[in-house]
Amino acid sequence: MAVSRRKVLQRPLFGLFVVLLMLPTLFFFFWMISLSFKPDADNLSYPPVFIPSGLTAKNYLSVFESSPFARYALNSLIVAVGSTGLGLLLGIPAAYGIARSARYGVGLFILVARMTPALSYLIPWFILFQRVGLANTYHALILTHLIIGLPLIIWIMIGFFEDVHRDLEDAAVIDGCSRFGSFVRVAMPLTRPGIAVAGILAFIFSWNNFIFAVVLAGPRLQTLPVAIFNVLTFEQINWGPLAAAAILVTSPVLILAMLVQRHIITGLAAGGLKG
Amino acid sequence: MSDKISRRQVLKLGLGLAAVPASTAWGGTPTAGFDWQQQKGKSLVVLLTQAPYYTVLQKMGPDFEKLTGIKAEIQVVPEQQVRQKLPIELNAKSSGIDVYASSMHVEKRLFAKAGWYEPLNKYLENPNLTPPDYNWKDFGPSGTWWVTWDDGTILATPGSLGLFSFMYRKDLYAEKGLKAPTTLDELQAAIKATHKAPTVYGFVGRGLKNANVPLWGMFLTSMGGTYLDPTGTNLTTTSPEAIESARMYASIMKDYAPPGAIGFNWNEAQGSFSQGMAACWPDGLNFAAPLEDATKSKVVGKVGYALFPGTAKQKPFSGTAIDALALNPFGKSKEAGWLFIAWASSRAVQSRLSIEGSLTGTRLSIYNDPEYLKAQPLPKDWIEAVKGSIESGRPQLPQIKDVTQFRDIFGIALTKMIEGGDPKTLLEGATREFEPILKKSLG
Amino acid sequence: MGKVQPLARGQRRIGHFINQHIYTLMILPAAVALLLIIAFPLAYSLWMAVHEYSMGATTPPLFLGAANYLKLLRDHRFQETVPRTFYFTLLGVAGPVLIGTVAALAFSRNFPGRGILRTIFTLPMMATPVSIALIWQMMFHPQLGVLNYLLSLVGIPPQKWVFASNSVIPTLAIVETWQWTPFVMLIVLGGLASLPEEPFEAARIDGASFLQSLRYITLPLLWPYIMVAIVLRSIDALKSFDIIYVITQGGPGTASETINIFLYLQAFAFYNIGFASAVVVVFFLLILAMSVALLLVRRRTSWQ
Repeated sequence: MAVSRRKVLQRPLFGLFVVLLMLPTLFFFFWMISLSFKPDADNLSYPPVFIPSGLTAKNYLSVFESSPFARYALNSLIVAVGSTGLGLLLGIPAAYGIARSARYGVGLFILVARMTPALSYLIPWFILFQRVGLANTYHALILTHLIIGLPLIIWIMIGFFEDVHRDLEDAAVIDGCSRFGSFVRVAMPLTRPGIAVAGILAFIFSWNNFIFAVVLAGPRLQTLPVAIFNVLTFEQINWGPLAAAAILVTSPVLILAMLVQRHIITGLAAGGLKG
Repeated sequence: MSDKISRRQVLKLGLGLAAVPASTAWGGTPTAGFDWQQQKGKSLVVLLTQAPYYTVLQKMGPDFEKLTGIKAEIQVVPEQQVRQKLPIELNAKSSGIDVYASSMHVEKRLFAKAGWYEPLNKYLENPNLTPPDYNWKDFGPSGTWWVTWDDGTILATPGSLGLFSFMYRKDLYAEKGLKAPTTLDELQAAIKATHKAPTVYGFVGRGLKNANVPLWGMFLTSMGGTYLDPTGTNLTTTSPEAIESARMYASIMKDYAPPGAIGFNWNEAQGSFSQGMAACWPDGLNFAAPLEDATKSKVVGKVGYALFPGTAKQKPFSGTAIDALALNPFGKSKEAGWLFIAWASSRAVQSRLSIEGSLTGTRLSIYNDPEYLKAQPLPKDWIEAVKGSIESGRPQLPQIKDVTQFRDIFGIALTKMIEGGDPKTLLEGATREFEPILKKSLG
Repeated sequence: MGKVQPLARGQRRIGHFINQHIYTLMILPAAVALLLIIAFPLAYSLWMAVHEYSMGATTPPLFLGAANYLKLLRDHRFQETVPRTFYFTLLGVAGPVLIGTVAALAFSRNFPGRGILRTIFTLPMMATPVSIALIWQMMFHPQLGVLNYLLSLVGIPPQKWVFASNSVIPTLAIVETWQWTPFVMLIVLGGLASLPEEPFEAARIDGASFLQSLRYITLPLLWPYIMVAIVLRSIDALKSFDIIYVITQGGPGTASETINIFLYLQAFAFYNIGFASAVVVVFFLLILAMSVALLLVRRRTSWQ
């Protein structure tokens, strides 16, 4: 039958397609991992050395030597979890409210916060936080990271809430739920993939942001990306330690993403029959 | 980095980091008769820019604490972020930072006019606050000039002097029977003779806007030109020397530098040179350490170091810029901050930073010290070039408030010249654009 | 309104009030929080924009009226940044959206190793942008970089990548695309996960081909999600800073100087806070205009 022949052909074609899709990313990160384990002699030579003459863990060690890595990691964790948590807490209900009452004007206002470049916030925030005594505090960092995450969370969730049919919620209301109750019991579970996506994205943006911490906080509160800079010396950029630092800084996010994946795929569980 | 680690270990064993009453010229021995502990119990925040010597200084924080009882939180931040953090703090008169590193060639006039440097004269003149062997004169005129204001106020303590000189492949030059060029004509001839694209290019240098201005400045000064007139109030960037030097820079970059050099900063140029792809590279001598590191470079032992070639109007010289340590006038623990600065800029500490962190300080006593000469891994002619550069140093940038904007505007013009634009027109355009900015800053 | 248990009068009133205005009350906390955090910076920028002020100035800000704005709009260098920024944005949005949507569709299918590959696919977005930028910069080196080496293996001559005026923006767009495609993919994938089963079942029963159901069912249903991704990506691409600044600093010359780079120079290299604030306001208005346009498109083309 024509259908099954097409299906047979589809598989290897699809596989090839996936390979092509993954190639740039696979190559880049293979290169980065290899940079991190090779000694500097290999990292600088041309033609490029793909198979190293000897592997070394020195690059990773130098990252820990050049930064109080554990402290930075803790700071990053506090700020990222704090701002993402707060963002989800405030943002999910807000997105629901906007979607249901179609108040896109408010939505636009919220998006505005994401529109101005971060640079323009630095000076006024510094002055503001100094005046109210929040300079060099976790609170200040969490609030500023909220700016990055909240609009993102809200606008992603608006789309998901729009897709939840009102009938489902109305049914719950008839059964004795309040509107808020139907939000919690009906709408939210249905939009779990959205929450997962929004949460992980907000976390990533907060994790990778460091300029806010550099300007608004002192040495004790610096966040992890700073560790990447600490391995760069001025006389030469050390590729090995740089790659190692980048990998170390990215790992926690990667692990989190893997844990959260499950929630994103719940809707796809049925073997991907959508198209 | 294993070489450096073992050397550090040797120093540690040999000199002892704990206070040992041996008085070698270096080692962190506290000076007898000076009370380092007078500010005991205070704490400081120190903001340093990214540099290998500051990374070493950061690691020495515990030594400072042991010596003085002052806890110093030392933060090393890349230049781009420091440019955002520091002015915001100082502008808001914040006391969050006590001591900071200042790039005098960029910041001096701006910061001084803004009142962001605490004058150090009274600290230096106070025998209770400055160790008797500190020796300000040891910094030499090239160092002290940079940190002193027109009226004699001392703004900061001299740190690492950037020495823009000349590095070349002495093996390739020897093949052609050439020595280090001492005139621009010799330079051009050498570049042509050693140019064998695409394996070896005659020249590599900075083309990236902003970074390229000091390189052009070398050609300019060599020809006897200047950025400003003697009064410092008018630009002389359309003089015949300016145009001729820009033309030379652009044509060398276009014809003899590797493709893409138009976007090179020191980092890319260093890569090309250390992999043996270029026959000469004028840039800072402080970038030499990786060139002589066998784990990184293909040209170890083949690099010659010299001053930048001159002309009849200017003998060979180097272009200087300097890093310095300054005290925040709004800080809460100024005496403690001064003690940190005095310690960090002392002969003992600067010697160590020279060996381990490529500091090219201006303390002349260091370069003549046999201990230093023995411990310095870089070759003899590098040390000679450094000494010569310090003596013949001319500032590589104009002494104005808006240096960064100058570098930006003229840097763009230079880039356009490399792409084929006419030097005269472009210089005139850049001068016209910068003139009002200069006038405003002087007003 | 459903069965409400008999309550005291006051309680019923409050409950009633809350239920009537529930949506507003749910929006309020987020809106207030944002307002508090951005109110001062916005006011500061607006105020500064009409004054003359530099960092380190010893005189107080001088009121200028609209002078900064006029100067900005007449500034040739600024004028050049605008089309350049939109060119970069166009490339930096089209790439991720197209590839990201395709990737989402691919990853929605069940195949072995799907989970791991999908996670790896999101790596570019997760790694710290500055480190990514530095490594890309190294790969772009005309003589020493690995990219030209790979090209040479297949006989293509070395490219100048970011080291030439005419190729710098497309090259940067490649990095931007590579980095943010996962962003679009995740949003669209989440959207796919929320789509109802029925239309697809019906289509399959009717014998629709893969392409047909894609065109008439999947894409229209996904459209609102794709639009959200487009809006968010456009805003981010317009503001893109880390990649461009780290790799080229806006060079060669001004070939990759976007509005945000221009802004950075004005604020933190030249310290012209007053002028920079005017740039902030104008830049913001541009982004706002674009976002409003895109959101209107989203509403008009909504499936519902």
